[in-house]
Order: sequence, then structure tokens, then C-alpha cells
Amino acid sequence: MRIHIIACRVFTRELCFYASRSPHIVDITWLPQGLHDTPVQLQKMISDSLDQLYIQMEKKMVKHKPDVIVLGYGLCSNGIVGITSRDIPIVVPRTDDCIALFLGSQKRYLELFKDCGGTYWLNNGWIETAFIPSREMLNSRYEEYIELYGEENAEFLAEQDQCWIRNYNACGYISSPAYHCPEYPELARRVADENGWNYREFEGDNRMLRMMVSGLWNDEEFCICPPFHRIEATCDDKKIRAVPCE
Amino acid sequence: MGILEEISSLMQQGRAPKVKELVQQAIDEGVSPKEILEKGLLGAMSIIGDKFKKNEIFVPEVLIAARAMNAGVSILKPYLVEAGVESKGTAVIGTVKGDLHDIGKNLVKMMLEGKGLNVIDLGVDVPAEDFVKAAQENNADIICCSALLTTTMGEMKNVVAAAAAAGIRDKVKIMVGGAPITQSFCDSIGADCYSPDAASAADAALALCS
Repeated sequence: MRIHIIACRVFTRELCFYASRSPHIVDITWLPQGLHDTPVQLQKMISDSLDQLYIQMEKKMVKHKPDVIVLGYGLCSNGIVGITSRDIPIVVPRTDDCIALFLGSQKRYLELFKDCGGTYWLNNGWIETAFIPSREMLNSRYEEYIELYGEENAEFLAEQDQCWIRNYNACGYISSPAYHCPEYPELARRVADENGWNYREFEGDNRMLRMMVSGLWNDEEFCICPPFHRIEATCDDKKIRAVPCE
Repeated sequence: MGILEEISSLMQQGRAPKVKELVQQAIDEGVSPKEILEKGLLGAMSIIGDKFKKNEIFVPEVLIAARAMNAGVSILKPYLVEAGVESKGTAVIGTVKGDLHDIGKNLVKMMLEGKGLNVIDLGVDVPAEDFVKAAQENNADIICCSALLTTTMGEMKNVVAAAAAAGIRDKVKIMVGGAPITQSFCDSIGADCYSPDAASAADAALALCS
């Protein structure tokens, strides 16, 4: 089977690792990390990637048509809602976001979300691709604010950034069974200290990321969107459903 | 450039201290406070709102403009009260239970205040019952709920239900917003109004109060 994945760069290490070992032929289109902040933009970039894939197939630049397209996203601020399949089915994990995928299941994520409210999650992928609230990155953002908006406004904007940081109370570092870099949990611990948060480590579980490339998609954890269907949010435990295009 | 155009231009640049200074100067020159508010400050905010919708500017630019607007409004307020301009309505605002992200909520609050609404800020992680209690205590026209996460947006449904259970559903409008929120979600939970950004939220809130 040929699987084409359109995924957030936050999964680079894990998906590359499991793709290389998959019995299937896996190709991946990467999109920038952080698009969940602008869900309209995320939806557009996934749609554009699908357009590009079909253009490449039409022009025979892609020699083999994929059997299935997998989205390497959860709901991600509803950025995947409205994505429409054409003649190739699209598979999407039924999770709120990447944290559930790094923890191994939506169920575990929700349990931790309930028990560890106010936890800011970090892992290898986030540390390597995202803005993280370390003193170093906050300082560099502050310098950028000064340059763009002047010193007086920079202080106000930095204060706005501090608002949400103050609302959190812990940093949860999720380890990865695919890759270990000792500096990363150290960095996560430093971020916790700098922001006055508690620090906790959680063992990561890549089962859903492995399933993405394995072709073993159960209906409970993955939504299989048949050809010519549109992805919708269900606003319940199922998270998403596929509805026929009119 | 007339003084109102100058106030508008400085407000759009987010220059709060300068806006304050010029608003005072305009008052001293005899410009009516209502005109300063509508043509100078709110006019500038509409331009900022439009630019944001078109992706020409981003959240920091809107934040500093909203702050500059509020700096101007703080000078105008006593004069507006003196001129008999009353509060346009009362809104209680907060992020829903479990959600700790308040930049958007703070921005909407500033916008609502700029439009002349009295805003009761309940902060973050607000249980549904607390929204309702605050609405009752303050005789609010609107409850504004914000959520940034798909894990917490479902709480908005509880706010609608709590308002109905308390028997105030016909007295208070419920507005919802935040990155994952859509019009269809708003409709599905029986809320009254969804706004995709802070400037539209302020316009919608004003319309709900009138």
C-alpha cells in the first residue's frame, strides 16, 4: 500500500522513524508547526497540499498514486474541519491535537488534562520546531517587539505574554520512544523553573503515530473519510466524522 | 491633518501616551467628546479591525491599538458622563472552565470598553455557574465566553445550559469566540452570537445591547 501523509513538522522525528520501518511505502508532505494558532490558515495549507498532490499526479510527476492519504493532525483548533477527500480516502486520528498523539491516545490525554490542569506540554518535536516560553525565547521576542513597536508598547506586549504564562502551573515533558536527547528534558525543566511552574515527566507512547503508517486504523481512534466526503467536527468524544459532499 | 485624523493615525500606530495627550488637547480646543470618541478613536479601531480581517496586521498591532484606544477613552470618560452619555450595556466575560488562554479575552474586553460597554472580567478558568452568577449580580446584557482549545470549547454548552437553568436565558445573550469556535458550533450549542475577531465582537455586542 502507498500512504501519503500530510503532517505537522512537530512529528518529523517520529513519523520519519516509523515510516522508514513501515511495510508500506510512505511519502510525507510537511507543513509548518504552529498553524493551530490560525486554523483558517491550517485548513487552507492542507487543502493546498492536497491540490499540489493531485496536480503532481495529473502531470505524472508523482509516478504512483497513493492508496490513502493520512493527515498528521488532530482537530488542531478545528483546522482540519472542512477538508474534502477526492477519489483517495483520507484518514484522520480522532484526537484534539498532537499532545494526544504523543501520549499514545486521546483517552490518556483527556485523563491527564483533567488531572493535571494548567500543564504546558513540551516534547522533542515542540522543542525543535515551536516557540517555547523559555527566558531566552521570551527575551528575543521582547527585542522584536521593541524593534517593531517601540519600548513602551514592548513592555505592554510582554506583559500580555506573561498573562497566559502565569495562568499555567506546570510543565509536562513527554519523552519519546523514538528519540532521546538528554538536553531536552533539561531545557523543559529550566522552562518550568523560569516560569515558576512545577515540572513533571511523562512517558511518551507513539502507538498512534505508528498506526498512522501501519495501515491499521480502527474506527474508534481514526476517522476514515471515504472518497468525496468532507471532514466535520462532531463536538463529542468521536471528535470528527465524514459527511458526503453535496 | 485635523486633530481627529491625527488621533486616529496615532491610535492605529498604538501610541497610547500621544493619543492621551491629543485627546486632552482636542477637548481643550472645544471638540465634542462624542465626536472624539466616534470619529477619532472608534473610527481608528474599525480600520484596525478591517486590516486584521484581511491579514494585513496581526494580534500585537491590534493589542497596542486597543490599548491606545483605551488610553484615549480614559481621558474622555468623565466628559462623556458629564455630557450624559450612558453606558451602552453590561457584559460579563471570561475564558471557560479549563481554559487558561486570555490574550483574546483581554483584547475583546478592551474593545467592548472602547464601545462604551461596562465589562465585568471574570478572568480565566471560569465555571459555567460563575458566568451565570455574575450575569445575575450585575444585571448583564451579555455573557461572553472564550475558549482556545477544542478540549474546552464544549464547556460553552454548559454556560448556555446554566443560564437556562437559572431562568435568565431570555434576559441575557451569550456570545462565543476563540480560535476553534465557528458559527456552526455556536448554532449547535444554542448560543446567540459568534464573532471571528475582537473588532467584530465589539460591534456584535453593541448590536445585542441595543
